[in-house]
Amino acid sequence: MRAIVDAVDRALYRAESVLIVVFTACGLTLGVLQVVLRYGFNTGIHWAETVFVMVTAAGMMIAGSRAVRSDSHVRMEILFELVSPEWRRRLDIGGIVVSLILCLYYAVCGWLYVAFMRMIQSISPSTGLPEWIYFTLVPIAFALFSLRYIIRLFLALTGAPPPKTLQQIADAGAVQ
Amino acid sequence: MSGASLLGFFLFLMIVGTPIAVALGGTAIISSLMFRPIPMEIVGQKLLDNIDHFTLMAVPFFFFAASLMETGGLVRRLVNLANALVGRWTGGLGITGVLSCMMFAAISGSSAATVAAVGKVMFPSLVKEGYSPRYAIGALATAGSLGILIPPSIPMILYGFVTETSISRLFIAGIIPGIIYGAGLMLMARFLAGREKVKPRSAIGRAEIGQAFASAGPALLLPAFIFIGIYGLPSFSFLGIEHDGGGIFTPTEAAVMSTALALIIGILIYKEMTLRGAISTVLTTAPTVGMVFFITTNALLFAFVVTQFGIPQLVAKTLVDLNMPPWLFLLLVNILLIFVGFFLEGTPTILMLVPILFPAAVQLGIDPIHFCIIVVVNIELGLVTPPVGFNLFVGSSISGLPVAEVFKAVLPWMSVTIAVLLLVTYVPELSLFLPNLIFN
Repeated sequence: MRAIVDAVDRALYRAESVLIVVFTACGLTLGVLQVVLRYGFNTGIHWAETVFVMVTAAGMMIAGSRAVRSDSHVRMEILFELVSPEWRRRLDIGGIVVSLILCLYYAVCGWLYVAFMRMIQSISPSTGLPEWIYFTLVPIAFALFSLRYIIRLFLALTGAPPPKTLQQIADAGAVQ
Repeated sequence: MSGASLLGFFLFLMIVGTPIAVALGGTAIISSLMFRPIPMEIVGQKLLDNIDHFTLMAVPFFFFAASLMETGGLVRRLVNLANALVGRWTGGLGITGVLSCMMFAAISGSSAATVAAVGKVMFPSLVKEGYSPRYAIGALATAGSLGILIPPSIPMILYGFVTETSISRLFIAGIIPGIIYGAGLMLMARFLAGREKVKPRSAIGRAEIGQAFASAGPALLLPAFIFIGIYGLPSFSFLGIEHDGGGIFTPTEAAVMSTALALIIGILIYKEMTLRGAISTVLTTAPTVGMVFFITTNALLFAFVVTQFGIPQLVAKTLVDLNMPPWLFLLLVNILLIFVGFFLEGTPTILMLVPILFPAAVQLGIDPIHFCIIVVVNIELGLVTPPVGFNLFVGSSISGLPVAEVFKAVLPWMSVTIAVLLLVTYVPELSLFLPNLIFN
């Protein structure tokens, strides 16, 4: 079972890395291109700004899923600092379960909205593309979040060490 | 009842340690399901609509620009320049630390990035020169908070986004308070260095100063580029060339161009970064931005529910009915934000509290720009106060000192932050002079 979880984690890691870099690079290129065209040549691409926002938002949603892996989503640490490692583990598992339920709920909400957009066949005025394509990002991103939380839940339940306190991370010289 | 339940759920989820984004989103969903259901399709739409804004895209690119600058060797050159300029004074290296943070703050919009980037270079140098580790980390952890006051600033972008205030105006409003804060910290650096009896460094020759300027030139281009890009040059007519004045690009475009420029300088000019290194930097920084975006979308969902329950309107009406004078309101806001700052980071503080406090502030006649600067300085204070002051942890990470020691180290420097907070709260001209001068 652990081998399967590790394999899923690695596959997700690679997919996230590729998507984050590709989306960020596209956003950067489009953003620079738009500035150069507008101010250098007094012209522009009418869909560039919309697509710039779309790809950047997409990249950062995927990055949010990556942040689940590294446990980078900030939380109020005060109780974590005060309780024993065993209680820290219990609180962590509780937090993961709540997060997982919310992300699954969001994924379903996103999927319902995509179905609605497909039904009304809404078209983006700036790109000319069906809007549901862009909104597919919501169920996909939150499915990734959910997968990440399932992996973390598995690891927490199977004896992975409890999350480090900020003090422990600082002691390791790793707070950035 | 609905408001009390909302607060109860939120506090419970926060205290048990769920991520802040989840606490916000979870509270919004549970409360709406209990009292005023939002259709699931609307939730699905809002999750993306909340972050699908051109303005908000400045956040990732300012984060990336700061990280790429650190990887590309720009920070070290800025520190060398600051050292060449002020290093020979009493407490010179401490002042250099503050000045370096100010310079880096003019490119980075993040406080933690400023402490980490400048701290890694400056802390060993300060200790080597005879400053106590306590002095060194106190200076750096506090001065690093300038990263969010001197433009560009991620909290200002988020504030402008949620209150629909011009980000260009907010950025320029941070300059005078930022300079005053920096100057105050420099004075403190000199005073504390005098007490530590640190010997001043020998004077540096003009040639070395020139060399430091030349080396840091490309790095200095970045803040100049951002400033001129957003605010433009004054109108002029010279040798047939006419310029009408006005900004060249938006803050978001400035963020994108800064990232591109940081890449070019790091890879092609300083040659301290490879393409692989740049990709690795983006991948290391992206989760932080993803975290900010996840908080943003959830906080706006929370704000949507809070507004549906009529809470901001109720707060505003109550304060107006109480005939509360603005000075008292601002005092209470400061107390609230200082208290919240003990437990929360800047991003959730702005996204959660500003939508509630802003309507009241406006009704009491407080300028939105002035209010933003007050909020930002409060966040700066929160960054250096335990138990979750993030700069304390970054400082602990850099120095190897326990967080409690870093907090003790920060205490004398914090007096400057409190003085600046009082100044910006009760002298609105400090925040409003430049925006009024440039935009009116």
